[in-house]
Amino acid sequence: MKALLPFDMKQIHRMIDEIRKWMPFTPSSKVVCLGITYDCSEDAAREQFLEDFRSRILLTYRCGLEPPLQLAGGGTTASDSGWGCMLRVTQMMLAQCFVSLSLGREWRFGEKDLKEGSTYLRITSCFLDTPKALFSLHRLVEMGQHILGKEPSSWFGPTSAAQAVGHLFETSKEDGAGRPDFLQEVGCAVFVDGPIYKETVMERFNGGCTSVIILVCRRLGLESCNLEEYQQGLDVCFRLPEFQGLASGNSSSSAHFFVATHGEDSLLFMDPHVTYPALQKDADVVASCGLRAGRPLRLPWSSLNPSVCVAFLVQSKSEFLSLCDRLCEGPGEQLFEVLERQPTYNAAFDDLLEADDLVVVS
Amino acid sequence: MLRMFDWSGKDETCEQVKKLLKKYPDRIPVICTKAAKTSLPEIEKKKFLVPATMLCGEFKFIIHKHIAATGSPKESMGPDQTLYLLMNNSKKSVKASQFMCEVYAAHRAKDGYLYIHYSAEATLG
Repeated sequence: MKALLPFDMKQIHRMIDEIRKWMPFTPSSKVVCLGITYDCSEDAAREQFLEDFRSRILLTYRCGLEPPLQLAGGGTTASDSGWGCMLRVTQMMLAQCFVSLSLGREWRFGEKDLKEGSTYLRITSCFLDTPKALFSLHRLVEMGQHILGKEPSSWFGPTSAAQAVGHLFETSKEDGAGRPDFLQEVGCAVFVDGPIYKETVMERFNGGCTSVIILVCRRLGLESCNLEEYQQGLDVCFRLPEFQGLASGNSSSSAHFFVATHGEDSLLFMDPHVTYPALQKDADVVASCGLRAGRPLRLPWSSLNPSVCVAFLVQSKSEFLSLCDRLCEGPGEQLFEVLERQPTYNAAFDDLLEADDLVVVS
Repeated sequence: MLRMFDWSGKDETCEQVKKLLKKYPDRIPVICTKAAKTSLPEIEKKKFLVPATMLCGEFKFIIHKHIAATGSPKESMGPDQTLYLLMNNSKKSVKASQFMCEVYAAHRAKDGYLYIHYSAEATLG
């Protein structure tokens, strides 16, 4: 029977997801986009939502990377097509944080944003495809190699990409000269396996940060996302003003950046799976009329990948503490866990071997 | 000592668990195995008897140690590689601050063991 099928189920799912992506889609029910609700059954509200959506910064695969990346087995690659999508999604999430931080949630893209020295261009310059750019693909790949032993061109997940970002924040703090003005007092706290530790975020504020980007990574199932437990909690996130997007993907391993929910059953995302020439300088951003998202693409909740990273931006201690309270009440309680500080588990537990296959921990 | 369960009444509890719990009344029997399709190595010993008052975060720390002990290359289990524990039956992830006995009470299998899978993140391309 199996031999009769030209594709396995995974390939079929991937094809369905691909087809769905290219089907015409017009938002028609309630949309909650990064904390703002639009009733898209009305034309005016739909237009407002689309303008909001198209103002988000889209980052995609790029070819003609200069310098090219050194591959493990020798040789080089000058493109991240086919492997860099999770890094692009994480860049988009970070770009969204920077937009909220320095342009605000009310901001919408306009011609003025392409004027030399504009805040918009200073944000996009962090993501140019050159090793000099603070959060470039080059730097993320290098950091992944350094901290996780990931060779260039290996796939990232939401957690490893967030870890690379966290480390880039740390190292760029040391040589502060490389940081643009709007990032001088911004910290980043990455929580890789669920719990948010209050102390970690408070330390960033106490160390002089006025804003902290919080990245919370979780695995919400094995083969697929456990929606019964976690959908409501994720849904709540999209309504929060501190929410800056969800980095994940579909169940057939394509990474997407989710910024909105549509009705009860689906999510709207930005997709990095198109390859354009590398962005070397601000002028390239201007020449492409900004890095603007096209039309929103839709994914049913049931196709959401179980590995996720949720981003929040808090701009004061009290905002952070209030966010913690809101995350831990209601359906968010399934998803989040807030602890005072990171526990230190020491090696005090001894393993006694009771039988060949049994470990007694005492 | 903390005794969470009355073992004598549970007929479906397998003999092995009964025997173990008789000898170690304040422990939780856990079987921890690698989830399918994850890049992590297989741990050598899969059955654990852990203190009922152990935190899930501590249990994860122990599993991390066991995986590291398999001596696999850095990418599969470096110190910065994140481990996720999920309940075998409900595909719910464990919370670090839960006690193992709480998880056990909610998720024990009929044979008396608590089945947990460990996995890395899913990677996307």
